[in-house]
Amino acid sequence: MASFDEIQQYCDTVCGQIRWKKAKPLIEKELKDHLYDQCDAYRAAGMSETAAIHSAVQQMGDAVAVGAALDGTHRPKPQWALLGLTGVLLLAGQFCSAVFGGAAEPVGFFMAAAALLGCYFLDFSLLARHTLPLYFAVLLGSCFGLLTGPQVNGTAWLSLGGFGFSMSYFAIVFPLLFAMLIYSLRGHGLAGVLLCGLGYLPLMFILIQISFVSGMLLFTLSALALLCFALARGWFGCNKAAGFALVLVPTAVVLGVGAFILLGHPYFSAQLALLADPYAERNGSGFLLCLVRDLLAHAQMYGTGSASAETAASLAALDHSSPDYLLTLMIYRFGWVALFVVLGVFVLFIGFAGYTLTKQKSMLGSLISVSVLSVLFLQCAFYFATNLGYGLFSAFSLPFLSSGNAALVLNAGLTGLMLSVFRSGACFYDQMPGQTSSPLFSYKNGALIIRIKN
Amino acid sequence: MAPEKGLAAGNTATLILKLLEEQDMYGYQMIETLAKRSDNTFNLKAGTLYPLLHGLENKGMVESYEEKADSERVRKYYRITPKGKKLLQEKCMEWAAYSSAVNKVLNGGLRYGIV
Repeated sequence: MASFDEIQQYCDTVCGQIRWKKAKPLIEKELKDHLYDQCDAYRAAGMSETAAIHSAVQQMGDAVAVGAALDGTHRPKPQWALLGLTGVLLLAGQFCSAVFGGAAEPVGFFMAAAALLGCYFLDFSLLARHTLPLYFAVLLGSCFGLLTGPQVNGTAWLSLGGFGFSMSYFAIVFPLLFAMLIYSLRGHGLAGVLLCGLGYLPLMFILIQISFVSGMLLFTLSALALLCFALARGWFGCNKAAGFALVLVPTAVVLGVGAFILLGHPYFSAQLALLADPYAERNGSGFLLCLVRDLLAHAQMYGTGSASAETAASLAALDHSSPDYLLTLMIYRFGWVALFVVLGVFVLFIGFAGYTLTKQKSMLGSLISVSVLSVLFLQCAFYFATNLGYGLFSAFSLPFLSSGNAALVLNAGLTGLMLSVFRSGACFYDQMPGQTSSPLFSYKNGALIIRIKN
Repeated sequence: MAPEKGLAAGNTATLILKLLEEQDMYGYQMIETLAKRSDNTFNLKAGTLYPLLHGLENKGMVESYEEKADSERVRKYYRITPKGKKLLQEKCMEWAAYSSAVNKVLNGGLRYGIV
């Protein structure tokens, strides 16, 4: 065993030169595999085990020099651009709170910053190690919240030690959970695709009980995007056409049936009629939509809009709902240029993150990134639609900008997790199910080998 | 006769990319194949190969994946990317131009003043 200590000593010396801890296990494994192959070759040529190991180590080169060279090629990739953009958005959110809400929200800001940085430095691979326990824990926690929490304005709330938040925000987190479920079922073929579909149902059931349609739509679209992404990349290991058929056919059927039910439901058919012509219910359910459209119709390119006195007097109604109509207020108060600036920043953020995502090698990293990006994108899309007077359902939040500590902290945490993937995803290797470095017991050249450690 | 170190060092990446163009390989396999193909002219040390490979991977010239090489171990294989193939093509053309110019000089080249 003293001979194998020489291999371990060599690897320890090499890895001792490498500053990035996450890179060390992968490098050590690769070097050891090489050394064992070289030893096998020397032994086949007739050398003794001790001599073979010694020669193999000598053949590698100076350990310190090798380690220093590898240190140069293995560094985490700090995501300064995206961190900076997120910081700018968070500060802009505080500015908006001060201007439209009367006061900044420093507590929410610092909690969001802590969540962003905490998740940025988190080892995202931890999520992969506890997928199913996490899935069931969130499911049980949601059921507990539904059964015991209060109802506020028709939406379930969760109360934890004096802090309360709307359970509708679970829809922001569920796509990440679903991504983890897909990851745990990778390589399981069509059965894995089917199980993912079954795993979607309990989460959707929770969201239906919470009664927030935007949340249901956000989760469904994100889940669909994640499944299609995993299928397109071949991660289930099944026939792609069959996999897509298994996903898209039931989805089309459910959407068709769902649309049929919604159109027949008095509330939803009324909402659709309202969207087409809100002025028919100007003094009733169409009041807010009419107000938004009137304000936008009188907005300037730069500066405050010139709506009628009656419309301007109703501005207080939007101010009261400022988390939902921040963009409309910004457009009316500062001009359309405010919309273009906000849109530009989000396009830049999502575009740059999307480009960085395409460079991810690992399945886990890619799935986490897709889940977070889809959540951010869909929140923006719903919010823009509502604030431009064309939202069918109420908006979620405008990530980082609109007020509301729960959404702020959750979005910041998810963004931090995505940036963690971008920072250190290069050092994560996915193992397919059933794949191990070597079997527990193996027999070679007359020796029984027991693998004690991977 | 082993070539001067400087001559080999600049072209090692090209040699590795060429090997990977033909077949995905793991590190030890690359060293063995290179030695065999060059009649032991190029005896690359593993300590030189792995920093080079990881550097090429960082630049997107190659990508790695894990696969079972035999019944015992899961190994890290490398494959060349389209970007790597493009670089290989450029380096091959550079080498062809360089070696042609050297050969011309060594073999006499143009003579002036002869009518």
